[in-house]
Amino acid sequence: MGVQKKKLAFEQWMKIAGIAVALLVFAAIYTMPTPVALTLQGKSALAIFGMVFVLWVSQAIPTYASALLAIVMLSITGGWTQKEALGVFGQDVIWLMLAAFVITSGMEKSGVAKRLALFIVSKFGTTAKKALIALGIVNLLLSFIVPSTTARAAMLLPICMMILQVYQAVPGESNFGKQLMIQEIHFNNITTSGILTATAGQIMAVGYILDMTGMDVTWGDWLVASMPIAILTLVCSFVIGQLMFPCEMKTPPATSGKSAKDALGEELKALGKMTGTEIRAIIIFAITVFLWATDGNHLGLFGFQVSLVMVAILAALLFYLPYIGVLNWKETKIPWDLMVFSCGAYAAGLALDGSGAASFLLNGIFDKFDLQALPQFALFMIVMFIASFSHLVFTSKTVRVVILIPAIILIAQKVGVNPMLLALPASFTICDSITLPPHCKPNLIFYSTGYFTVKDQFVYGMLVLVCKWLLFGVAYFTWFRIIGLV
Amino acid sequence: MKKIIIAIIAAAMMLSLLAVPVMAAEVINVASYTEVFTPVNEADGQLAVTVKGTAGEDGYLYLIASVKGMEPVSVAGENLSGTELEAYANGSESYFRIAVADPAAEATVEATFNVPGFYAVSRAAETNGAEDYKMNYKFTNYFPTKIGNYSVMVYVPEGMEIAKVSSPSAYADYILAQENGLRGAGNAKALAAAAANTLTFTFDTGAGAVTNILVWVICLGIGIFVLVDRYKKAMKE
Repeated sequence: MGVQKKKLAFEQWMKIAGIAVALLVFAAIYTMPTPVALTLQGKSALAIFGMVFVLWVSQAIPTYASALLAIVMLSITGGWTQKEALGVFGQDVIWLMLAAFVITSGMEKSGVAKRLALFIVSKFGTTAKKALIALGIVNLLLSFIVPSTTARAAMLLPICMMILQVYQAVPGESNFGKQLMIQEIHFNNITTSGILTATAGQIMAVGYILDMTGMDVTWGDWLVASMPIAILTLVCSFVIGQLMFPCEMKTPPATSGKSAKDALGEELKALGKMTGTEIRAIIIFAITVFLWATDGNHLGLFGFQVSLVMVAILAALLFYLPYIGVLNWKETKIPWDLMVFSCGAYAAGLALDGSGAASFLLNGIFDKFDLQALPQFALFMIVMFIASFSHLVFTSKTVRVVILIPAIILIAQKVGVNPMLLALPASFTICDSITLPPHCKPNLIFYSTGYFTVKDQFVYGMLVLVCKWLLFGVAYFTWFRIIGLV
Repeated sequence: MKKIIIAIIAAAMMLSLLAVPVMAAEVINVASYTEVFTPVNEADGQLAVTVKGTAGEDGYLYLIASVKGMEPVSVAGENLSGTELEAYANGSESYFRIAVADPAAEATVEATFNVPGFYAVSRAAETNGAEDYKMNYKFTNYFPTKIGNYSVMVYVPEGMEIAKVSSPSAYADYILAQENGLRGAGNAKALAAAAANTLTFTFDTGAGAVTNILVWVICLGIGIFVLVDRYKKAMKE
């Protein structure tokens, strides 16, 4: 009688083999002969990033442990200095996350987040799918008036959390929770790519195009060229999300036996009139949103600038103050394990950028292709691929723009192709940093809720970006020809 | 009145004759200035300087004495009438100069210097990690005009590698190279008059064979142990 071997799931295999593979990656890179164009620092940073990347995706050890491992290894191997590695805790993104969770806790405790969530869900999100679409549309509309991905993420976080509570979605288990949080990242970043002024990196890219080619790209030009691709990419994101993480519930659990609209409407009514606490919370939130939305006009309005992170910390402060606030420290829910992860992940990413390892990898990729011999379409697709997926090694959008856009313009000029054809669509990929938590602040903010894993975000994000890349290919023969780019 | 004017003109002419000749500030033009440092032994090095430019009114092309104690070894070039470099000082600034055959045309000077003690640098560690040698080289453009393109490359002793470049800090602003088996770091940029270029980096031998073997033994050892242990536990569940 034969013994049947137990079949292990892929996730189990990742946990079993994750540490071994991570250590293998580290040893292979750390001990390899140093390439001429790389310093010892860069090699260490690359080895450590590779190692923790495997650990994050495989979840072979808790993410907060891998983050601490990254900080220690970077300091000891010289991949990053202690001051720089520990200094990540002082980065604006970490404080922004901390403040965002204080705001969320305040909104939650006051009850206003529940009221707002019930209102949105009862009017627009009576099913899980409708809730996802409604939040996506809110994100899209907000992107026109709040020119900051980070501010929008911090703003929508309490509402998303409450919606998930209405749906009783359990962090780490709920597919609806995974979809909602990851799609917020996608909507946040990809809608930004449709609006020139929505992020500084895009404005910088347009500046390079003007300086190096003399060609001007207006706000309207950008919107017309980019937004169709952005919207179609978001449709792909929604469809992929439905396939990858089919929602475990169609309607909120509390609605069983009644129509969702009725049940949620009753729950909303049962909250009664707005309390003083809710009013105070709304006022604080409204001040925060106003300051974020007018970020570019503070000097004109007040005579001084208040940065995004300071607005968030100010809001957190208001939530704690007597007479004004609604919260105390014990009531504040800050996921410290995820905050530690954010610090370590950010440090690993910054070390990769700062040591030159990321640029080294990118240059190596460009050098592999004989670009002059390629047909124009093939060149276009290769450049778009590199532009989009280079975010995997560059954590900073600004650094990507500074390195990529001038290089792409020079390539176009060298091979005799219209620089606008390559540089402008490449600029539409600046916000494609949707695959890993440390790639941008909204990623870290939503990841810190604990609703999805690094692997969930990575696989989902990669699939969406492949779709976007293919959409570029379709646009080359259709939309870009219509608008005169090809 | 006429006598006063003549007296003033005469005084001006006399003053101009007595004036200390300065480096021909208004006419000197340095198109490119290249410095390459190569180690000779543990402490000393050799510096190869290549300057392309047009001479000043005095008919000389100048090289800045950028390293204390640098001694000329050889000189060659194009459009030169001199065969040796002449030390020259202008206040606190030191130069070497060589006469140019045709001051109106561009001249090239390729000079080699001994730079004793250039590689006698200290070894220190950051707060964590191993000790590295620290190289800090600053070049100041003492010319009264811009250097069109200044470039410097410092090669480190054989068997050593560039650990980290601190200045310039951006990867795109510095160059890593290898020549005759020696690794080097450098940078290039235009340099305005009185501007300085600082190249700071650390170098060391890197992880040796023993360290590499140790890393593999530890990584493989832990990796295999965890793999087998977790596999057994997963099969038991």
